[in-house]
Amino acid sequence: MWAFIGRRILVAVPVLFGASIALFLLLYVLPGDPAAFVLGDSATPIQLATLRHTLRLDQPIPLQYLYWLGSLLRGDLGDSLVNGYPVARLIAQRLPVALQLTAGSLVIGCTLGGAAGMIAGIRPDSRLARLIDFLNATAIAVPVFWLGLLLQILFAVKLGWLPAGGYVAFTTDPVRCIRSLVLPCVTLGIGTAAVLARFLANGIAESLHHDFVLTARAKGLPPRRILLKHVLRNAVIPAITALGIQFGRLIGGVVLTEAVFNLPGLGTLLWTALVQRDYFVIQAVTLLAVAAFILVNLATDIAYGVIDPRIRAGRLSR
Amino acid sequence: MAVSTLTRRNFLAAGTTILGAGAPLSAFLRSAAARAADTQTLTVGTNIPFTTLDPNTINTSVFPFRNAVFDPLIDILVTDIAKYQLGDIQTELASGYTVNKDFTEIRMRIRDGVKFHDGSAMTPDAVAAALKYAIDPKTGGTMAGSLADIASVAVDGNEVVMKTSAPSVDALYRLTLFRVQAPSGFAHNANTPIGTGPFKFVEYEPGDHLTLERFPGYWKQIPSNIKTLTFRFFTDPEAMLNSALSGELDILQFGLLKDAGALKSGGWTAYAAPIADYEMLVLNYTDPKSALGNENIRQAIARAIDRKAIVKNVYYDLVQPITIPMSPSSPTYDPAIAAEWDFNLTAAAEFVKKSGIANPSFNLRTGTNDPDGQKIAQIVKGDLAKIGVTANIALVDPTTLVNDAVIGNFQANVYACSIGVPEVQDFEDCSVYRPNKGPFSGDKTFPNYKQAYYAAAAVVDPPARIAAFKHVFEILHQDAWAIPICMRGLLCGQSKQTSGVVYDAKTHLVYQGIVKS
Repeated sequence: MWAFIGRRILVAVPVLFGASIALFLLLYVLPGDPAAFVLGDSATPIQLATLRHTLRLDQPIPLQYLYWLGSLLRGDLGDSLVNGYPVARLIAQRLPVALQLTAGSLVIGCTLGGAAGMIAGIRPDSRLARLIDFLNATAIAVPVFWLGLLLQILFAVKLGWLPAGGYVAFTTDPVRCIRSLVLPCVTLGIGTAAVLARFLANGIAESLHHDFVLTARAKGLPPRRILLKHVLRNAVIPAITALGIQFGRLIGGVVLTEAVFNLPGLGTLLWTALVQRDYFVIQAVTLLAVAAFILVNLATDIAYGVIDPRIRAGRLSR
Repeated sequence: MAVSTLTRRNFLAAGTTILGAGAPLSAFLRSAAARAADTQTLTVGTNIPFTTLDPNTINTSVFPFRNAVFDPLIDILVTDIAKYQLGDIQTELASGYTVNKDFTEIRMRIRDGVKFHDGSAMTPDAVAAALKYAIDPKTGGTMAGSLADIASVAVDGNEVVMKTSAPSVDALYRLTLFRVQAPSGFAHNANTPIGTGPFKFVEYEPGDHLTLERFPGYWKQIPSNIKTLTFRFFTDPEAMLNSALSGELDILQFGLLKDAGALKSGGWTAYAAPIADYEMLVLNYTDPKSALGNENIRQAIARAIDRKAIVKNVYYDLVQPITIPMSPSSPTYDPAIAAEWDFNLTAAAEFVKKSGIANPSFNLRTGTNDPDGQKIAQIVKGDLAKIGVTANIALVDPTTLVNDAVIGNFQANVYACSIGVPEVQDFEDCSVYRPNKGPFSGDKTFPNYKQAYYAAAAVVDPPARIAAFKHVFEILHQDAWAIPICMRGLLCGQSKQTSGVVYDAKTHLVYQGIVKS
């Protein structure tokens, strides 16, 4: 098992390295001069040149990359070009919100998606399964920001049950913290639930027709045990794959959801940085998102190995 | 196959139970929301993030914050926001002031007994230090440009004496922009500033919120029950609107004009706060490939813009159309001159004929991030087509648009330009009215206009001064390559629980005297 994990980690390192180069170069494709943006229209050429020198923008791009990578490895993400705050501090302030939002939406997504997937998978031709299928398609098609605004209007503006936005730290007021995260987590979790439900339902429906299910039934195993121990274990692998891929969508969704619900997370930090051309913040947050995506995919690979010993042993690839 | 005990009956029973639990849940959630209501906290939602807390940075977004944490020496308030009617100069941290006859020296008598938020006394020396810090281009940010007329600052007893490099009536009025900050806070004023204002700094999380609390040692009585002032920053204007309508905000500042109706239907007072921005059609008449090199074509375009249609369709009838570079409330505004460029397609067509150019056309650019500019460009294109002028619209990213405008690499742009709202004694130069190629300042850039401007600035008699500036703007409009379309405004609103927002001539919204019920 450890060798399997080690192989996966070795594959992840060059991916992260490649992503860092792509990310660094991407910013040079964006229009505009960071120095001119920071200093404004009234900046003199001398002021511009001084700032470019300070930011090392006058150096060759490969050298700039090496400086950036060196600083990154030392844990120095630079300072915000807009407010001068250390980028690491800005990220540390915003990370808990993004993590709570992501975790909350995953919990909602897995709970709703798991339940709906099992119901639809067990009785694929029932009216309930068709309803779930319709709701899944709708949830996948609805854009996150639009769903968020609809939920906001219904539950905050019309019913007044939940806040329309803002965030209260759990340590300050746990009840208000949970209230502030309900709508964003539901907004973000619905899409995950729909995808998960669809994959799980298909997996269960397919597994139910396999010989091992007939054997288990013939042996007189209780239906619940057949479902949970045998059917689900086979059906869950494609669902985990979907969940891993879904994480990328989740990262994009976090940006939009945080903006709609005005949550001070990494998404709004990135959004504001993009608007203000705060390059160091953009680089750091995007790299963090890429690293998170790689980590989740690594975890997904490991989960395959845990659930299915054939994958761990590499038999499937042969 | 019966692998599960879940039936339709069970499912419906579970649904009924959940719905049954909904009523007490609703009551709980509503009561929790009611508990959150607080009459001593004023929450302001703003759609423009702060870039700095340094009071020397003149930026619309931070004006309300500046007005809460800092005080001016003197101030002018707008007595009627809709008409932009100005009141008289009032003293604040200066208990009095004098200006010498030739407008080269301003003396501010500094008020006694005022303390900064860190407990230190606001002395004439401290005020002089703050002024010197502000007029120094290295430390003064954008304030240094506004106070550029002030050449020296000195202390004489309890007075701060400012001398100008040349006679300057404007210097006094531009001092209304200046805010006094504690010298002990210079080093960290971008993040933790120290002022004398009614609220003191508590906490700032960039991009999320800024919290201020009432300063108990404030030097004057303010009839307000607000103890805490919180600014919440929004990245999405729709989210800000929903937060306002759900009762989470007391003040909404700098929203989208299209949301005025929604705010009003939610019981809010909504208005367009005038900002020092005009929507302009900027023409480059030095490009030989463009028909805009012909003055008659430019005159035709100026008359072929249906400004009322633009104001109605783009700005929801909340702002004023303008044909000349001054607001209708300005004393220099002359309706007869303004009427000359009113929408008149017949007159416009005559100018096209007079130009002798067959099928005149030009490229019209606007920003990809500017939906208002894009709509305006479409309306302008439609109107110009009626007089046989073709405008080829192109959308350009905002940075390129601005950079190209500075170097003159364009034919025509629609965008918002910063312009000081001209006042009786304080006439500001608009950056748009510059020649197409640099240098962008100095006497040689736009001689007729500059000479007239300097001559007018030296006139001290108010009626003569107004007349002189009318002449300046006439030259500006005849020679310039920028055609004003309309004033701009940002949606501001206040909930029915609040009253007492005032509007400052120079620094916009002031919340310090607000009362919340």
